[in-house]
Amino acid sequence: MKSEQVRGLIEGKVPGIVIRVPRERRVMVHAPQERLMEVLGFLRDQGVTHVSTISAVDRMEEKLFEVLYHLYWENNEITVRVEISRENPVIPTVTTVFPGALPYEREVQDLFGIRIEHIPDPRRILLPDDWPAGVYPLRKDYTVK
Amino acid sequence: MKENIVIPVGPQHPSFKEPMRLDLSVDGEKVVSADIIVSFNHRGVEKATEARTYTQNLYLIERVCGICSHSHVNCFCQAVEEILGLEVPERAQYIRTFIGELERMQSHLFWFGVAGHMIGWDTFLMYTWKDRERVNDMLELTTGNRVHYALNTVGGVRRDIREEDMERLKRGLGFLEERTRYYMHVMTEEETFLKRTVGLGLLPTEMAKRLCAVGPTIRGSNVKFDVRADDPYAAYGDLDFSVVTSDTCDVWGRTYVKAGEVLQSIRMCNQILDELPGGEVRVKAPSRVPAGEAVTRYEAPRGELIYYVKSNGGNTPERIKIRSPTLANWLVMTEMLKGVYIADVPIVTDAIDPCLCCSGRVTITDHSRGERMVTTLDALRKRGMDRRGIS
Amino acid sequence: MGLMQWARMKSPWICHFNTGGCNACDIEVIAALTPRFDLERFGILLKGSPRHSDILIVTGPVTLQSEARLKRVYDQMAEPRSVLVVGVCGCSGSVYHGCYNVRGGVDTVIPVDAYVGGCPPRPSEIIDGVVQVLNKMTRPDQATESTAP
Repeated sequence: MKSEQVRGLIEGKVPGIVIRVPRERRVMVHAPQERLMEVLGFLRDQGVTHVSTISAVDRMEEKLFEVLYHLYWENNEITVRVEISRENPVIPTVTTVFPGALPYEREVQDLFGIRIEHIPDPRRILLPDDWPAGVYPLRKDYTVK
Repeated sequence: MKENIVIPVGPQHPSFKEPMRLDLSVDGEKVVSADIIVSFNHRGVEKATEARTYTQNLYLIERVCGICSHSHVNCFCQAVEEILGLEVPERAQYIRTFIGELERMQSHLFWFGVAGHMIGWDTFLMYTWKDRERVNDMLELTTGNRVHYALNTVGGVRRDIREEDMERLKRGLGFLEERTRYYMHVMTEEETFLKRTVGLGLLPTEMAKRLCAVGPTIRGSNVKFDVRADDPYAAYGDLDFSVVTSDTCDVWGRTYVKAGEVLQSIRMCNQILDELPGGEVRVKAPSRVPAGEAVTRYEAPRGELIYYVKSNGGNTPERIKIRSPTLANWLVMTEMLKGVYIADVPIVTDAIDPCLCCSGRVTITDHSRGERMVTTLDALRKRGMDRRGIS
Repeated sequence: MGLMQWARMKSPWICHFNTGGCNACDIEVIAALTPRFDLERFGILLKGSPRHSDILIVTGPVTLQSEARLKRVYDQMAEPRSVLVVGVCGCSGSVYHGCYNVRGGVDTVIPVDAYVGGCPPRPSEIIDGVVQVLNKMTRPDQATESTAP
C-alpha cells in the first residue's frame, strides 16, 4: 500500500492526530496522549498486528518523554508518537491491543522508568536484579562514570 | 516421580555464544510453561552511542553482534544517510547487499552446525562449519576480515570488490551451492534429522503474527514477512529472489526456510557479481548531521532489525534505539516450548537462532513433583540423545 | 616433568565462558575446533564443566550480571588452572569500556595468564594463545612473548 493511501485511511479518523509522510513507506503519526489507545485500536481494526518496537526519547529540557510505537503494516512502517510528562511518566499498556508489545514495554519501563499501567509482566528485562531502584540509565540525567 | 528440575546451563558451553536463563515448569517430562531471562548480555550500548560521534558509533554498533555485525552497521548508516538526505552510489549499495547476503549464509551455516550439535549430530556440525569457512574466506577476500568487516561508512563502503577477485568469489558461490543442496537433501530425507525436528516446537501462523515474531521463525509458520521484499533497501529492489516459507510451523520448517534462504542468497550474490554497476563506492558525508530522525529496517539473518535514530544537530546522536530480531522472537519462544519434552528443549530453543545464547541457566520446576532442579543445556542435550537412542 | 604435567601439556582440557561479548570471539573459538583449524588434533578438548578443565577461555567484557558467575566458574576449577582471555573486550572492555553495565576487562575479576588481542582474533591466534598458556604452565622460565605477528 502506498504511504499516501495509509495517510488517507487514518487522517481525520481520530481527533487531534497529525500525520507526516517523510518518504515512501514511512508514516509518522503524532497523537495526543489521551488518544493513544484510540489510534492503536483503530489501526488494529484495520488489520495491523506487527509491533516492530517501542522507542522512548528523553527530552529533559522540555520536561517530557516521547514514546514512539513502531508498527508495520502493508509495506509501511507507521510510527505513532505521543508525548508524556517527565515528572510523572505514566502510559497505559498496549498489550491489550498488541500482545507482542510486551518485551518492548518492559524495556521502556526498565531503562526509562516510564510506568506502564496494567502491564502483564512488570519485571525487569535487561538490567540486573540488583540494579538500584529508581535509577534509569537511558535518562539524560544519568551519566556514565 | 516428583521432581523440580532446575537446570543451570552454566555460562560456558562450547557451541553457544551468550548467556540466557530458561525457567521451565514441567509436568513429568513435558514443559508446561517457560520463562526466559535475557539480561546477561546487556552492555548499555544505546547509552554509549549518545557519548560517541557518528564515526565512532560505526565501530561500536558493529559490535552489538558478531554474527550480524554488517546488518547493524548497515541499518545505522541507512538511518544517518536518510537524515542527511545523502544519495549512496549504486555500486556501494550492491556491495553492501553482497556482504549482507554472505553474512546471512555464514550465519545460517553456523546455525545448521549448532542445530546438528543440539540433536547429537556432531558430524553435521563439522561438515557445515568446514563449508562455512569458505564463506569466511570470501568475506576476508572482499573486506579484509572474517568477522567485523568495518566495510560500511556513512556515504557508502570503504572497499571495492576487485575485478581479479570475481572469479574466486564465483567459484566459492558454486561450491557453496552444491554443498547447500546436499544439506537440503539431508534435511528432507535423513530419518534421524526428521525424527528430531518434525512436529516439534509448533508455532501456529496466527500466534506467530499476534506475538510479532520475525525472520525464519515466522516464515517457518507460513507468513511471507521479509523486509527485503516488503520494504526494500540497498540493492534488493533490483534483485530477483523468492521469500522462502514453510507451512509446517515447526522446527523442521524453520530449518527448511534457512536452507532455502542460503540458496536464495547464492542466487542474489551471483546476480550482484554479474550486474555490479560501475562508479564510485562512496560519497563524502557532511561532518555535521542536521536535526532530524529516521526509522530504518533491515532483514538480518535472524529477522527484522529496526533502528530509530534521532539527531539534534550536535556531534553525537540524540538517541539511537536498536531492536534486534531475537528480542522479537522471545515471546514466541516461550509459547513454542509448551508441550515439548525436556529432552527437546535445546533444539526448540535453538530453532529461533537466538543471538542471546543458550548457555544460560535453565531452571525446571515440576509442579507435579514439587521439586526444582538445576542442570545444564548440555545435560539436556545429552538427555535428548539418550532418549532418542543416539550415542 | 611428571606424568600429570605431561598429560596436562599434551592434552589440555578447555572450558569456554562468554561474559557478555558480541559473540565474534566465541565464533572464532568454535571455528578453532572445526575441521579447518581442528584444535582436537593437538589433544585439546572443549569441556562443558570448569571442574574438568585446565584452561578457562574467557571472551567478552565482563557485564555486571556475569561478574559473580565468572568468579564462581574460576573458583570451581581445580589447580593448576590457567585463564586465557580472547579478544580485546576481555583485555580492557574495548568499545564497551565505560558502559553502565560493564565492569571492564577480565582481569578486574580473576587473574589472567595470557591475553590474545584482536576483534576478533583469528583461530590461529587463539591456538597460539593456548600454546603460550601451556608454556607458562609447564615451563614458566621459558614462557615467551607471543610469536604471532
